[in-house]
Amino acid sequence: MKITINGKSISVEGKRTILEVARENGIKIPSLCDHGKLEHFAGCRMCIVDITGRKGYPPSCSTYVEDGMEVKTNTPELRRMRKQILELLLSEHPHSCLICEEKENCDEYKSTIRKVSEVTGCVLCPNNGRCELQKVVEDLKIDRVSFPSLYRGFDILKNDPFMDRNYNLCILCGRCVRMCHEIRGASVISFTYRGSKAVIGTSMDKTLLESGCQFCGACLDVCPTGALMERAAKYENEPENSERTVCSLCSMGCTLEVSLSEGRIYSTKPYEEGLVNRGQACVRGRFLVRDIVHAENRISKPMIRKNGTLEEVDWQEALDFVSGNLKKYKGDSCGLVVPSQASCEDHYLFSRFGQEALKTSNIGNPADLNLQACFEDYIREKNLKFDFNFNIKDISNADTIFILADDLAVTHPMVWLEVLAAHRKGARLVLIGSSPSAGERFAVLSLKPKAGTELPLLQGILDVVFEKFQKQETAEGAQKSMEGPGLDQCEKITTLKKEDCLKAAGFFNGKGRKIFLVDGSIPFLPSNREILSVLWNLSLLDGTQMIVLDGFTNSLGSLLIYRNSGTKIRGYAAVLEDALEGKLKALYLSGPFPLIPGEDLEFLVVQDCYHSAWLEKADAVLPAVTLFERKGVLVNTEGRAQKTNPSAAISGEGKPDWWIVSQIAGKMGAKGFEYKSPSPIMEELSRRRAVFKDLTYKNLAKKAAFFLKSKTGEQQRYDPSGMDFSTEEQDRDFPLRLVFQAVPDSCRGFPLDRISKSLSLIRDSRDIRLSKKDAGKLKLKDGEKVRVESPAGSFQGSLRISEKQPAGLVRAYLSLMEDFDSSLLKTFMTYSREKASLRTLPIRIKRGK
Amino acid sequence: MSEKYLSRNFGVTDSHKIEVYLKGNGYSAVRNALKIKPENIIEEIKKAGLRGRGGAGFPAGVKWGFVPKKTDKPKYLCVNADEGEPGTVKDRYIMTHNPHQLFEGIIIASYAVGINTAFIYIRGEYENIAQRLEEALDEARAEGFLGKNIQGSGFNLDVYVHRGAGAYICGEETALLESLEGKRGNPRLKPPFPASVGLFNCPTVINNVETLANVPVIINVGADAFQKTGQKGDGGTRIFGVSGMVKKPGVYELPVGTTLRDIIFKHAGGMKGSRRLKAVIPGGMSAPVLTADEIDVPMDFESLMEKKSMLGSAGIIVIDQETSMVDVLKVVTKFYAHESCGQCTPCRIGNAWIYRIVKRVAAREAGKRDLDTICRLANNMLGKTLCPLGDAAAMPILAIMKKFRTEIESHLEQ
Repeated sequence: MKITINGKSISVEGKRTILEVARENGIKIPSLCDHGKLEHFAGCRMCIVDITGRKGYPPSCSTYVEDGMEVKTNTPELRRMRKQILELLLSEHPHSCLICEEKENCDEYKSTIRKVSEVTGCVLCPNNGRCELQKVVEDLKIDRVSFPSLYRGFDILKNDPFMDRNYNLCILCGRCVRMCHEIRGASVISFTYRGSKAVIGTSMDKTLLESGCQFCGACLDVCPTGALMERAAKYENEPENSERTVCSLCSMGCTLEVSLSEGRIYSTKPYEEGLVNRGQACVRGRFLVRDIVHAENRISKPMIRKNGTLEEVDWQEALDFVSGNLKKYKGDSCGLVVPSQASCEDHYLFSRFGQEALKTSNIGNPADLNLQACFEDYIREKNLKFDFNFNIKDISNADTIFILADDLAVTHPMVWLEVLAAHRKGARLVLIGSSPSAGERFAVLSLKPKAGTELPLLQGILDVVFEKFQKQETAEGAQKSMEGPGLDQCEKITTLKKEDCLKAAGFFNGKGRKIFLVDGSIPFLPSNREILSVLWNLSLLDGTQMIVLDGFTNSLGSLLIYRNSGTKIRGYAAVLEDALEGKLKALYLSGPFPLIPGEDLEFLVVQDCYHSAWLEKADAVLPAVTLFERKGVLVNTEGRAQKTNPSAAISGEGKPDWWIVSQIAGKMGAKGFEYKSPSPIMEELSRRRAVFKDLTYKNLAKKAAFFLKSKTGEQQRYDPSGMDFSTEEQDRDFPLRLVFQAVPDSCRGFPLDRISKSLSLIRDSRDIRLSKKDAGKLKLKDGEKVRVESPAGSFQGSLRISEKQPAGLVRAYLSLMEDFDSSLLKTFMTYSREKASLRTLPIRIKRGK
Repeated sequence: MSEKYLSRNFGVTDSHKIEVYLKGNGYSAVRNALKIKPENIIEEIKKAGLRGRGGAGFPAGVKWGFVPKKTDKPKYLCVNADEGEPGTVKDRYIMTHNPHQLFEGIIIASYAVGINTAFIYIRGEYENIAQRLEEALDEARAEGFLGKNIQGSGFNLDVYVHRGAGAYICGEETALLESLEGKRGNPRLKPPFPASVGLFNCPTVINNVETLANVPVIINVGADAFQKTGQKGDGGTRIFGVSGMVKKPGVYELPVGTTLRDIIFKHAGGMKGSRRLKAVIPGGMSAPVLTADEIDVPMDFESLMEKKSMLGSAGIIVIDQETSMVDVLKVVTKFYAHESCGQCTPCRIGNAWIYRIVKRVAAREAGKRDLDTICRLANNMLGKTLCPLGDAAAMPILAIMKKFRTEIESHLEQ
């Protein structure tokens, strides 16, 4: 179709707004409330235009072009009206600086005085120079406001972590509200009050924290004014430059723009064109990067123990000391723990270092405990054909999504946003699991079986589906050999109604695009492996795509490196077991590990970023750097490989992990560790491991998106397995069940809430979550220090009472940190040693330490 | 004596009870309508020239016709009983005295459009009426006029009463939908129109109480008779609510097209005591004011439009010579400043500034230039807001400023 704008004929295709078409054709229309990603709001009325034959002045942001439309965007009348509307906005927005005659002089000679609490003009505003309102004022050449300035006098809200809100600067464009509601699905903020008293706020004016805000910062990034400000960056100087890198704080791999000021990180923002995140981030990427890179407890210099105390030394001395001592402990008496959150280059060299220099099979990677590791074992053993890769964008095209996960918004935020996008397009969400989840209010069905009875439930569903498909004779070759509990028993075990199981089974009808989203945080009573097996069978029957989400940064990449190394690597649980049994004489710790009691260790090396209790025992300490300070390749949960870039100056004398281990390996006499940069390591890895074929720096730079070729088995067949559905007897002494979850926010296993106090307000890795009902029974109060006791051991933390938490179930984070009871951890892991999966544990809770 | 289509029962003892209503041949329209083809009912309503009684006056039959016939989504009827327009009390009378006639309208409209669920969105302040509606709905259900298989016709319908929470803006149809969905009552962008994407994104008809109450009348008396009662293309009667300085303020059901003069002087008994007429707001507060010499206008949509005013909700506010137009202005501007939802800049901040300036005018702290500012602000609202509230605020303000400028200026000079 053809339209004319200001006399210029333009041909347009598809459903487009006048504003979009105008902008594409270089025609400027001022606008404040419109945002490309959000629904139209049409509130600011800056973008009004004149359409021949149409009454009034419609806003161009929400008026779609029609064939033959004649639009005028810049008549004197429109300019006059826009100025008047802008004057109205300015009458409520501290504007003295905008129309000040001394403006230019001021800009030149005075820098912004940001250390004020009340902003009464642009020079006092932290958003000075970046403000969209300023730009519109400039474009419309406003030099006077015919109304007196009206300061609305709202209190500046500073009671929340990470951000301040000053609604005296707000122009009520509603972008933050729409972002929070439409894209993030959180709906924490809304318009409150009405008319001239309208203001953005939370329900009952509670704090954001109390309102369930996840602090993704998306509201902040769309705010056109200085109303929403990141507290840490508020009082800083303007950033000098910015770098683009991949966030290494979880398995999503979001692209971030890191702005720098004097080599320090000023702020991190999600990159608009990020392949995974497309302009979105979460609390980790948006607010924590700066804190974790410039943390006070970073290890900054190499140290070795001399006469009982750690002393700072130079790198050469430290490397000589470590390599000299390690030579004495070659073989399985030497343990190596790696951080799962490291680059592929690091992991490749760690694996070579362990095998070729330390000559040990005791290499432990925390990712060994992940669900993906469990599933990888399963499909490898059964030779099943499965592709770990998926494209995050495909999720939004699903018709039905089954979620077996704890809280995707926290653990896999970008996956959750895609789920929400699918929901917006009409997809149905089915939640399965006893844990409370953020997705509940979006779900058409939320199955909450009794704690830990997910497997009988899923088996019950599978039975129904299997029978249905067998009747339809679509499941060719499938034989009725899956012995499930039957619906009656399923009802008894899970305490769910039979109809609910049938309803859930009804979704498996062979129609539409369906996805299983499974992550490792669901409390599975029998092992995860059996759950995965049921899901595998279900997905095969119905053609549902199964997506197994992993836990940490690069855990998929690291798994594939160690598991395809050709020699046996015993894994994390075995290293822990050996350590507890006193079989280890030397330990090379580069990842999280619970403190081992006793004095069996003869030599301990800690190679890490942060101080921990292990340093008191360490014979040598080697400072590593975070992935924000160096180059490295990470594989995210989709199987997508991406490269990080050094975005901050290296803190202290820290070195990348690959450099440290290659130096030590070289000094220990191992061959082929002469690397000067990570790029050749990657080339070597791409040659040595088929999964990493072609994954080189060169190819990464060339290709827009690079996915691993995860090699799997051949068979696509049903795998019925006999299962034991006997429920465990309730233990009178330990009446509650404990479920461990991985800490969602960590850097090399170090819980970020120990670095950021703000984060600990949102979620603390020492939180022990209990239902209101159980707390009432035990007469325990929120925030109280409690001890969790199990037959295997105990640990402590602070109690968080949750209304959503189901009764009888207690949840805590499994941090693998030094202050965690290692014997408890061991018992926990040996529950299913071979499968290395997490289960529930009978416990009781007591007040006090 | 003119036809009393809606107010016949007003004042009859227990007129709201179904046994009284049935004695007066109640629900005969439903019984008959359920035997007619739905599309023929829509045609009949179109022919009768029934225009919306809520304010905008959109032909009801045409509105029903916009709803897609074939859709896999449920369709809804929303009854707009959020009677918030100052000066308007007609729906309150209908719902208090004649709820079953409204239900008849709801049933017939739903049957005609193919709707099985209807909501009555009633303003929060009408608490006792909401209670009465609930009781009346129970009666209708018990008599088989609501619920499954109504009167053996195979047609199902249930009606729910939903109370608002006291916002004028929720009388705007799309804000009403938002509020009914449980959200903040902000208006929606149009298009899409509710007929295709309405309540819970489903096709929706939104009709005023009085509009629907007229539907059984048309079935009973026929489109022609109904049409003839009123004007061409604007049939039937209106319930005029007369308030202000008249001898007999109250509600009067009169044919569409009765002159304003007749309503005030013949039916409402003329001016109270020795008061003299100064101005009339003819159709609820949003309607631009008429001066005393303009009251020979017939009260129908077209005639009032010619006078640059509007029939609106037919709430007539009579203003006498002793009432200061500055006070009228203050009441009007305060109302809109208070009731703006806050979405569009010109309405949110504009109305607030207008009210602030009018307060200064009332206190004689303003100059003549301020009067121009009021007009400038009001003009800047016209046609530049999402919903009609901006226009509804600007038009009466501009009319008062234009027609009574001298009085306001002399107030400033005193």
